Amino acid sequence: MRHRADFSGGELNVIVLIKHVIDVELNVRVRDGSVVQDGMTYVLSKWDENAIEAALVLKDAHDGEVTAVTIGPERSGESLRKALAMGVDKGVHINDPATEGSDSMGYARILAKTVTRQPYDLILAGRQSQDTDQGGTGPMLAELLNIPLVGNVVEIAAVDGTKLTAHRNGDAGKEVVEVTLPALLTANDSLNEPRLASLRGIMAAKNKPMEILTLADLEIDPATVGAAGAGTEVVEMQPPRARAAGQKFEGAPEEITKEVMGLLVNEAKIFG
Amino acid sequence: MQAPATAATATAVPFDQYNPSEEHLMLRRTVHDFAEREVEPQALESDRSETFNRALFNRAGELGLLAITVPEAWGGAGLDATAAVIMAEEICWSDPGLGISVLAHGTLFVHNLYTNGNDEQRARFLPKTVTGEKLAGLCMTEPDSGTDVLGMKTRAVRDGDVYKLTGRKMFITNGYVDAGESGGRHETGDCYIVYAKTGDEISSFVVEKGMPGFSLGQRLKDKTGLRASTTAELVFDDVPVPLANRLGEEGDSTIHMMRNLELERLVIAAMSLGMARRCLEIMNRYASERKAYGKPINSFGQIQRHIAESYTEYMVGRSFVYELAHKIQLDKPGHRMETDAAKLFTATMAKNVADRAMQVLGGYGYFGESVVERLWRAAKLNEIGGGTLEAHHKNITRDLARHPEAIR
Repeated sequence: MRHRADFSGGELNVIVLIKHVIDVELNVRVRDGSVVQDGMTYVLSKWDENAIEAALVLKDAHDGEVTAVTIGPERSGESLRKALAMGVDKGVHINDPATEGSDSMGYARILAKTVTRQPYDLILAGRQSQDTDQGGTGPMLAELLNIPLVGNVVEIAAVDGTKLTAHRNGDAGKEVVEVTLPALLTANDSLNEPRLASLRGIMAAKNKPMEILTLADLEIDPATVGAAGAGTEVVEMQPPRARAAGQKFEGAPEEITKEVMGLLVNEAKIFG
Repeated sequence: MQAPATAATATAVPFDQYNPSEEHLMLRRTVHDFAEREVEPQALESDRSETFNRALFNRAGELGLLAITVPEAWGGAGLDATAAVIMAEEICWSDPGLGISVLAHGTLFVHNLYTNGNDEQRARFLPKTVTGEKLAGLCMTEPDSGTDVLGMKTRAVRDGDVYKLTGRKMFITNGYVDAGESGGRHETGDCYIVYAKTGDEISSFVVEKGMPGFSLGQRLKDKTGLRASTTAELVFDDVPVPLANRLGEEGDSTIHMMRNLELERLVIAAMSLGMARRCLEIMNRYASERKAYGKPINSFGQIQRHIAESYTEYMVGRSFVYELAHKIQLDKPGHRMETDAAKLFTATMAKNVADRAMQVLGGYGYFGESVVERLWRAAKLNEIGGGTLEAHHKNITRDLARHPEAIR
């Protein structure tokens, strides 16, 4: 059962891929080549909130069910419950130590096995996760599922029968893309303004279905995912370089303009 | 805070008294997001123009913030005192003007009515107040009696199935609303719980807008702070209040009042925490970035004292308030002395932290754009409203004389 053959006029079932990430607003530290996890707090990756919002808007318009899926340790359940509090119907949590150290391809392999367990019409994800900024999992999953991909979506213009029209930010400006469903879309943060969970939503989240799965449940060979199955290896990690303080210019606009232009040309050499 | 939960390194998750459950943490993040995205952008202007932002208040209702402690069956969130504290802290981190309006409505009316009313009264008043469609408040203080609350002069005299209620109530939060879009006309809010003497005892009644003899007295403009909330004198002139609007039995309300004051004082203490936290964040950041004599000003001892003492006093208050919130059961009194003490300490703490923040920011702190200036004006209220410092001194000392074992 890969997806429903025909859903025109019916309900739209959406799967949202989400990730529980280290709160990058905090001071992220690196020790011995990896990010220090102790004492850090974790949040739902911000572009994933846009994906959830888009799914909920589609649900309001077309009915159907929204399922959020995440891979990660126990704490990742927190972001799933946030998704449920926002209005997602059901959560799927792949919690298996063997998934640790997966690269994008590893995550995509796990997700491919997960999402095909139920019929779906659309998969939504953030355009990248806020921790690694890699942006690989969504496209790789679309490839594994052999479904169309629209990345960096800024507007979902229409869902009509078996077709969906999305606007995406491309190199040369906005592109309008039509795809046949099922498809995978990744969300830009200008796609929408994610809703706040209401208190009622927060309380209701406790009673919504949450499925917890291991790799064995998904019949995935642990050797193909996690650190063991990764085709890429992070050989070194460095903390982001501290931003140098900006420079302030004071004085009459004409003079400042001259001074700044001089610096941009001669020091920063931006017109190289 | 959570430890990494890998199988090999699994450790116990340390107890976080500020967010004792995942629901509490989610509540905190939701209210904080609300404060940042929707409350903060209007806070300065609403305060400056003395405007009660009704649309924002209703948005708080939509999110469920007006009935946080009321059971889900009655349209609330069914959460505990800690949740009420979290919400107040996060709202007042941004806008204590909105915060006090939510307190007067949600704690002093909605929670009070749920706790002391019967099912018929809950069915009549809760559906439209939990959403904010109707604006509510509580009337206790009078022109001639504040701390000496039992000296109130408002009287209710029973006449068959009706009480005739006469008196004046002062400094009533949510006391009036703009009646027309064009402005210029004002009227009372929709409903109030009014404490009144019935004989020697105190009873409470729900007085509704439009009841004959119930009117808006003075609009009390030009408050020092919290100017985004409205404050008024309300006048009761032989108002016929149906027996069905009396909460509990006649003469029972001293206990209602005392029980509700405990939660009120706890929530006011939480408001102070929110204001203090914001001021501390602002002064800490400013002192790291601002330079004098070639060095950040937080390298100078005078500034260090402002920051370190503020943090320490804030943490003492925070620990006290959350520890107390954890102990309070909403349906039982029994923490009067501690709630008095929590508010006594945090009110002055927040005022001092705001003052130090303004000092650290120097000239910048003296202007509205700094946020600190607005919170500096707001913080003072908590030394007066919901019980003056002197009322707390009196209560604590009297209770300690009676119960010296409480010190241990």
